[in-house]
Amino acid sequence: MALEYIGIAFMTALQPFNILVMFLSTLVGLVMGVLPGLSATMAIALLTGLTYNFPTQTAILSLLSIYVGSISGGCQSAILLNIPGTPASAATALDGHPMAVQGKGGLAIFLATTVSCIGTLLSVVFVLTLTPLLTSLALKFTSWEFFLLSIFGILICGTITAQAEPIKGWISGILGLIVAMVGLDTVDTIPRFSYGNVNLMSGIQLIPVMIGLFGFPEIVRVFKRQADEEVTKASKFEVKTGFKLIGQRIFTVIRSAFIGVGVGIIPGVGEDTAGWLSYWATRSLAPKEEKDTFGKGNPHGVIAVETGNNACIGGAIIPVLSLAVPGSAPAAVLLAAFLMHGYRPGPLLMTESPEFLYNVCVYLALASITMWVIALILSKATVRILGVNKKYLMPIVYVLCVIGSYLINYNLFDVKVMFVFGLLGVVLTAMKFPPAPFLLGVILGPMLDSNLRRALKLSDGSFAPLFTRPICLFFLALIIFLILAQLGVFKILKGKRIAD
Amino acid sequence: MESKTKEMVFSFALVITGIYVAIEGFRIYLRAASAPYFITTFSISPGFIPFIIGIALIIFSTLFLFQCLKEEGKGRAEVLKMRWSEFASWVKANSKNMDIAFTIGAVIIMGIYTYVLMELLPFWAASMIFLIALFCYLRADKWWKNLIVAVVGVIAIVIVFQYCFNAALP
Repeated sequence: MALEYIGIAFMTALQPFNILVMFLSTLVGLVMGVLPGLSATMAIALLTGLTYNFPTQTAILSLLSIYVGSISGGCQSAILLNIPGTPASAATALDGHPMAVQGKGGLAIFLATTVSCIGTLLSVVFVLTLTPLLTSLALKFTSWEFFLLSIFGILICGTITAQAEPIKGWISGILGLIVAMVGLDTVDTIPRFSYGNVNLMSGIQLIPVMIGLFGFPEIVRVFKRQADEEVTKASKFEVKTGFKLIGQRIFTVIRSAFIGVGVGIIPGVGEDTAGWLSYWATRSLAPKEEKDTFGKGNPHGVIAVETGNNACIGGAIIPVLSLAVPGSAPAAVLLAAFLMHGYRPGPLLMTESPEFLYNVCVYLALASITMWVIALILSKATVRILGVNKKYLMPIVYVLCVIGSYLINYNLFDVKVMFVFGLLGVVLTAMKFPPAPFLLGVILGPMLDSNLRRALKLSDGSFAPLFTRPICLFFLALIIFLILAQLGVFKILKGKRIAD
Repeated sequence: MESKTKEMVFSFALVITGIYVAIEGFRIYLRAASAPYFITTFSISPGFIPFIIGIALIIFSTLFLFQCLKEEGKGRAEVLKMRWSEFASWVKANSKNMDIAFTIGAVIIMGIYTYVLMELLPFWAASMIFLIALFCYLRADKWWKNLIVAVVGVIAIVIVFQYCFNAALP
């Protein structure tokens, strides 16, 4: 059956119109990835609204191509400009740009693009194998477990994205939950926070929130006066040397793919973390004499980061498909897009629409191969793309943000919502509050709300089942441990014991 | 202004938001408890989760506030006083900051486009006016270049979405 689904997915993807869409979407994704300030999340959020009128399979193929393209495209500006096109490629700049300065920019781009493709392809294998496993595990979940899973998702996302100050991440997640409460409640249809406004009663749409949170601050940033950046020209690719280097570092590629997929599965933690962790692991495990060369143009660093961040794509899609919990911010947009196109990811996915998993895998694999071809061709024009006047580009991007928000419901109210959340995004960015947990809060809010209330209704308002179910206890222990550890309670206790 | 001062002011706003959400959650419960719903158990009422979220926001924002007021060798009241005076002087200094004023000006143009022009005019006309206005405000290039980019940009967007994607633009 699986082979049949894979065959059908290939046939769908290889229809002439879909091939054209895949090429164009990958190209758009790559260009958006190349341009600093246009993130993968923004690219998918923008294009979700724009692909609304596409046939379902074409739209999903297009969005996955954009996802792969935008994550991979970020490496080119990181290498040539020393400014990552997307946060996912931040670590690529460490070794990629020194390579470009040494006249090996072409080799660095070739390495980054090739391992990006390999990383995505490896992650597809994980999607194929882990999704059915996680889905069957999720079938054992009841409303209580889903409630705790959503809390855990927001907490872990807040912890990792806010890094030194997890409390900022948690607050960001709570703010997202508040936004999710707006509208008629899902159980009794009683209006909450809607103040008699009909538009608010139907709830706040995810896409305008997302475009506002992620796109708006980037647009506003261009308004500040800044110096022009210097772009280093790319040299020849050195294909033979590139393949030789990748062959020599095959264990790095595999290890980084594992790290990328693992990070991707954790809710809300994105490709940037995967890139940094892969880089850190590779640097830590390198021989002493090689360690010093990291940060000075070591191709090993580029290989690790780009494999890790691209493998994270598949990793982030695994919880989307199996639990309806996004693994990263772009995956959160993807989840919204899947829902918009009539798919219901989650534990019942393999029962209701088993073909969907195989469609996603085939589209991801084809998109990564397309990306490899287009990215290498595009790299010749990257210097020109990076030279585009941002003062022209960003206002046009804002017009696209307006269209993206409008097309979800053909309602101007969503455009106004996008603007409001854009302003909020600017404030959150200025305060260094990560927007990813906020977004996760908006996405997981309805899941948290409906599951807790359903569970409480079934137990007549009693919380007792929360403490009697083994999976619940596991999640509870995990949540309490996470909060106490991050607040430094264990450190204080340890300090007291030593003092005693 | 030190980031801790900004964060302190922000955490105050968060605490107030938390209080509002918790109170509103309780009011939703009171509404749900009366006719025609009669949901009298608090834990299954639609106001329960907003109430809990509000409380969580108060707790975490208060913890965050305390973190902002932490400074070695100084009491919290003393730090609070110091941060408020820092904030006041920051507001005074930045009210004349041209960079901030310039950014706010651009955001206002975006706001006018979103809230006024889009309501009054067809999409193409609103977008063209917006782009020309913003390009000129940002001093992107010469005025005629700005005009050409705006016109070509809007025509391209309309062709792609209205005709290629078959999407009805406002």
